[in-house]
Amino acid sequence: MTAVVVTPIPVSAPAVEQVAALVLVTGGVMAHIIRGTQHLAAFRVLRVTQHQLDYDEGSDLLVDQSPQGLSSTNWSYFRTTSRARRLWVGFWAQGTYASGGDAPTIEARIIRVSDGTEIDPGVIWSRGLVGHADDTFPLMFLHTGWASVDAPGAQTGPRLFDLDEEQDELLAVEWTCTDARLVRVTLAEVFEATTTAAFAP
Amino acid sequence: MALDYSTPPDLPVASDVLPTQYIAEGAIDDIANCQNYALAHIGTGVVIQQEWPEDPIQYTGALSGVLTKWRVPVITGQHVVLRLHARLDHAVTAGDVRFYSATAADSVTIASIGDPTSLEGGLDLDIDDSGDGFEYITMKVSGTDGAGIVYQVVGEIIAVASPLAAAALGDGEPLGRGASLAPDRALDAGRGARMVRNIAQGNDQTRTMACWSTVRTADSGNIPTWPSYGLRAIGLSANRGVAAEYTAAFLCSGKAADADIYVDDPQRTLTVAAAAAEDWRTLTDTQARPDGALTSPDGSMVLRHIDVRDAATNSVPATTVVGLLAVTVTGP
Repeated sequence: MTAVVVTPIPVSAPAVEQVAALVLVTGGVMAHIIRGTQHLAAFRVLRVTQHQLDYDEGSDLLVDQSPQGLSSTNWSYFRTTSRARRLWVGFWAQGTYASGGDAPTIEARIIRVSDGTEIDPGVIWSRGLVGHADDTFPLMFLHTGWASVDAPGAQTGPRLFDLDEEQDELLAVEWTCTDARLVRVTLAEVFEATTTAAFAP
Repeated sequence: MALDYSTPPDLPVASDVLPTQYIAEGAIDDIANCQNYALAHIGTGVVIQQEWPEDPIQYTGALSGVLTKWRVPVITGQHVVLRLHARLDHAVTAGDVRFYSATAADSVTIASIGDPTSLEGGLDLDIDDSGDGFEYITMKVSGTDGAGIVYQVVGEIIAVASPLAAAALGDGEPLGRGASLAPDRALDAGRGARMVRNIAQGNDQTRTMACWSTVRTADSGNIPTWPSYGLRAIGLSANRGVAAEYTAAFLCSGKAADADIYVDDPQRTLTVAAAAAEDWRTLTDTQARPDGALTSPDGSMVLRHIDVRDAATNSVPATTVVGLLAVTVTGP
């Protein structure tokens, strides 16, 4: 059993003409086909975007221009496929308008929508995003790097965790945030496979 | 080949393929299963993910007019189900939210149970290609004896459950239909070409990166306008594949003067003529940033802000120049 490592970087696809000119498909073309197939099948990014855009009732404003604390609970939903083995979760946040403000802080957990139970209960995933001040207001939002999403304050970067019975199930990232205006939650479904010797002489 | 995917198939290994060797049963089966799975799933999942946490939509009355509009891709002719959920509440006795698909002419109603923390619905709405690869979803709200309140809307495109039951998925064709893929025999060019086409089809299937709608004025049905003083009105954030083409589509109308909708990072401009009718207008970008660097550390693209400029002076307009209802960002 050999572990297969699949890169998310797109690979060059072979051209149909390479195949059509041949009577039989050669090993070289087949290798391209396999790499392209691996890329398609093995790494599925669920582009979940959380738009923190406020509609101001009774006015023409599309968004509330004032800084928002975003202290309320938010839910970002996604459905895993039947082949999901691990889930990759990362947060990206933009700070509030005011220069010199605190870096955004996020706390999150994952729950199953079907029964409300938590995956990896008790784990508070993130707080204290790494941020930097940007005084170009109002031309540009302040923004930060990735959140810590493991033990409180202990790590930076997204978190990868194992799935089991959550395959093909609607899950929710339940999160709260302070000192941010826009938060994006990105989830990637990771499929790790093994294979056997596949080709006979 | 599998009809469904309750267990994961193995991935084939390219390094195991050598010239002059025949392809064994296990390998060809792995390739076919993986390709069929990819064609069935790419682009599916959650495409609408929107909430109004600080100011949820509220409407009192039997049924509002169209309040929001979303543009969702019809990935292939087999991906025709959009499953809708909502977090709702009602001020007094009852409220619901209703969704409509313009081309498929279907509708579903999700009734509120009065718990704004609970995701309700999970109802399937039929969708169909309007001719441009997209379906258009609208929403209305009802609130009898008190306001119906909508906090969040979630829509997910459902994957094809049994690829082999589908004759074709776009330009791709599930492997295993018709003649079997025999083991320990040379793979002929026709089947090899099908595999290559399937890869190309998978790469082309539309994936939604952002799908957002503001809210129309319920009583008059007016589209919200972009205020002249509105600075950098929208911050959209979307993943982007390296060097992949993406398209940002704006549902907007022209107002007092010619206007440019300016997207920062990457810098693109969409001009909307004065008094132009409400319509979808698109920006397409295929370029990476000049220095090759991407905006965020995960290799994704961020639309940091979108703002409006006077097309003649390239400055902040003195009057309201654009009405904007919805934005969708899609890519391969």
